[in-house]
Amino acid sequence: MARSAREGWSPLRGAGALSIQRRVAIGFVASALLVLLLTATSTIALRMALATDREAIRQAEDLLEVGLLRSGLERRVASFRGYLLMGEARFLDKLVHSRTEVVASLQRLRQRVTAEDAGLLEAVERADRGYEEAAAAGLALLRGGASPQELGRYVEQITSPRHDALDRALGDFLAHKRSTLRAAEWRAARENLWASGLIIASGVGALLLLLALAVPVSRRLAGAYEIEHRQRERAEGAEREQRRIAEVLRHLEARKSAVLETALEGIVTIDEGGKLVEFNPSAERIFGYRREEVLGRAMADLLIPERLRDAHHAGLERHLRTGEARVLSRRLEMPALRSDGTEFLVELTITRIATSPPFFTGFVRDISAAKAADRERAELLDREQRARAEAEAAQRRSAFLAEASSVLASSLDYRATLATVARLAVPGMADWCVVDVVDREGKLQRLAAAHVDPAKVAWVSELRERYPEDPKSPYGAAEVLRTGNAQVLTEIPDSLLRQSARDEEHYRILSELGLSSFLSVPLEAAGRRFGVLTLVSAESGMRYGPDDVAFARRLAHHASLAIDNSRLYEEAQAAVAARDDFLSIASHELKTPVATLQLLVQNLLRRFRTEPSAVSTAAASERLVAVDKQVMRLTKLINDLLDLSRITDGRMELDLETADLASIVRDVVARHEEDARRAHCTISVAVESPALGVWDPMRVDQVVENLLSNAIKYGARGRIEVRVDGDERVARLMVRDEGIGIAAEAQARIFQRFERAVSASDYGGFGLGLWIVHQIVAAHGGELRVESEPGRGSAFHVALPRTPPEPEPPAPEAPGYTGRTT
Amino acid sequence: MTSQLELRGRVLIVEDDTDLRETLSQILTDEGYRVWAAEHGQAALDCLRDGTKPCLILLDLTMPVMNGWQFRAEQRGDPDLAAIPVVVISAGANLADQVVPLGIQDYIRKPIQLGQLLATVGRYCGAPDDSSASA
Repeated sequence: MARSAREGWSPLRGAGALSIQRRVAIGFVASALLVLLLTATSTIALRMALATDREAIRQAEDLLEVGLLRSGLERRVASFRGYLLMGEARFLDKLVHSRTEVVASLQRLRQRVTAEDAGLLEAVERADRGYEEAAAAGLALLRGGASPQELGRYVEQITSPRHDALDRALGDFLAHKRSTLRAAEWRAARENLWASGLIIASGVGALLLLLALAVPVSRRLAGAYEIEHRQRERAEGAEREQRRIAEVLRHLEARKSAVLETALEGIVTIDEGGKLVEFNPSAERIFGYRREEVLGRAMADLLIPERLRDAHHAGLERHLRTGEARVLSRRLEMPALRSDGTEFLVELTITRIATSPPFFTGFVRDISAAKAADRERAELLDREQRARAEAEAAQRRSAFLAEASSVLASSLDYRATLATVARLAVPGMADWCVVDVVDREGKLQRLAAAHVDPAKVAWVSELRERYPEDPKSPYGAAEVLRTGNAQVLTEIPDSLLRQSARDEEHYRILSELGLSSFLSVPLEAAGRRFGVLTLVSAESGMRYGPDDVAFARRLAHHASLAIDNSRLYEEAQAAVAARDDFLSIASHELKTPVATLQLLVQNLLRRFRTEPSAVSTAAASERLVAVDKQVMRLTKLINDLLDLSRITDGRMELDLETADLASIVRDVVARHEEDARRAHCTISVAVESPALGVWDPMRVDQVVENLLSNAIKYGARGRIEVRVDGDERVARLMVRDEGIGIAAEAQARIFQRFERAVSASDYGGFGLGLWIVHQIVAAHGGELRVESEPGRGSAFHVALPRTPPEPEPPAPEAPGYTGRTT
Repeated sequence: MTSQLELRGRVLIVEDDTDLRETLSQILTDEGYRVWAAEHGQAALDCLRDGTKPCLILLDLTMPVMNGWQFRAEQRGDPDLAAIPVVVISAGANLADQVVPLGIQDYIRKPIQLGQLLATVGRYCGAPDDSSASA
């Protein structure tokens, strides 16, 4: 900027100065010439005037000299006369002195005289010499002793004429001198007059000429001066301005460098070629380069990550070409490169410095830390918000759980509790909630369902029935039940629906449900997984996450406890009911043989009382056999009750001895032949004999007895097959009937107490038989299983190890009811 | 032995317990009644529909195949059979309450007092046929 200002200013001054100088020079030269001319003229005139004056003065001096000569002569004459006439020595000194003066004066005159005067002077000198001769003669007279008369006369006669002649010659000379003086004076006066005139004339002329020259020159000069003055002023102004500008610039520069030096922002300036021209200390700190090592180098290569360089070059090139500014004067955030090659995030503002060519200054701030802080702050904020949301959700959930737990605690009805659980979750937690519980057969049964739209509850259940749970599906209750792990699907993608759908219709229904999220947790209590709680989100668009899983687990925990409580309560109730049932059955079962016994005995008594003679011994014996049979029946029933009590208390004891299963079976079959016949059953026996083992023969008998009597009881007049076989290790017993059979779902519970596959109102008995069989077999370390098909009959298989099992056999089934061997 | 007598002396016993059924048959037979016995409701229905019309049915409630309640429902639904009087023999508790829905007034509670049995049967079927009494 300064440079261009100087350049703009200097040609102007140069042009004006040259013109003025030339004019001044011309004027000066002209003036000098005039002065020279004037001087020359004056000098010539003066010289002429002086020459005439000098002539006149010489003439005057000559005249004066002549006057001096005359006076000297006079004094010599007088001294001579005095000396001669009086003889006094004093006159002689005067005479010598005046004579020296005259000689000197003459000498001088001689030197001075011009040619024209020389004749006159010679006349004077001759006259003088004449006088001198006369004088010398006179002196000689004197010295010769001439008398004063003679001397007088001598003077009178000789010297005086001679003196007169000298005086005349001198007079002539003097007159001549006077006339020449007068001529010289006149000439000098004329010359002076002329010279003066000439000087005046030439002076006036020079003056006029000077005037004539000076007027235009001065006018020109004045103009030039004015111009120059103005130019000077302007120049001075410009210089002041420039100084001021320079000052300002210095100030600005100082400020700028102060700014640059102390700015917290990195300030990086590049020229249009992308070369670094400015790099302040902050930039040094930010980028890790020293200013000296980067100035003049390509900025992009140093500070911009490689992958962004092309874009930078393209942008700069485009800007320079089109002026399009996409990044200028805007806050930018971009990755930058440190000297050690690490990348970091900077905040950047680029300013174009509008010089030509332009510079670009970037103000750079390292915001990686700030970003990290921002991120951290955002994270903190987010965490806090999340924590707050979580806390609120947690509070809501805990309130919900508190409510749930109180609601759940309010009912001991198992199904009601399940329904409550499902209802609680809707709509706060889910749009649907279903509870599936494992039934006795180990299958999942949907025991409760709730939906935001109560009208859909039935539909949800119906859907389930139409499309039952696929036990192998990796999603859903079965899997949760299998693994015990919660399942959560934050989103249910279409692909999953497609995958889960059984058919096109199922897929359509699933799609229409608009399922958005899904969460299944197991229901567990007392270490037993007994069901699955499933939350489904659809219309509400809720998305289940880990918190929901935790929450659902807690809800499931509460629900499990409640359900377990309900179950225990129901089991307790069932136990009470079973006990009541059992007592009622037991009394019924006991009362039947008692009734028979009573009738037999009362009838016999009545006979004996009314007509003792009519009672034949044979008839009485027959009736007593019947009585005995009823007593045995009762004994067996009572033994069963005792077994129940013993086994339940864990007091079943085995009297182990070597026994033959084959013979036991034959005995039992023999005992039941009559019963079988009356029940229209045929018993076929296939026994590998002997079948020895270390068992309690009474208990084994009980096993066979119970199985066979069951076969007769439920055998429905069919064929009963009893078989005994085995290997070295195990003896096997099979009792098969062709009776009513046992439904699959009942097969698991027939070995439990008070259970029977059929209604107690249809078949009598304690319902203890199979349970006792099971306990006895288990106590022997054996196995009992049933194969049955309703309507086709049942086959009970017993496997008894031939040697007693190790002490403490594994618990057979229901803990607490385990038989103990001693 | 008139047909009236025969008719009045005919008792149908429906009881699943073989021993009790046979004992009851024996006693009532001994008392001069004609006795039919069935081991469950279905057998009794079959017997009745074969044309046997007893003066009394002694009915146990707990039986396989067809229990007493089912039998009673069938019987009451059959106009030919509905009028035949039924006395329940049962060991159940609250027998008085149980029989009301069956439309039955009389019941004999197990264990069975012989006197009550004979009195009850006598009330419905009259005195036993002397000719049939035997030692």
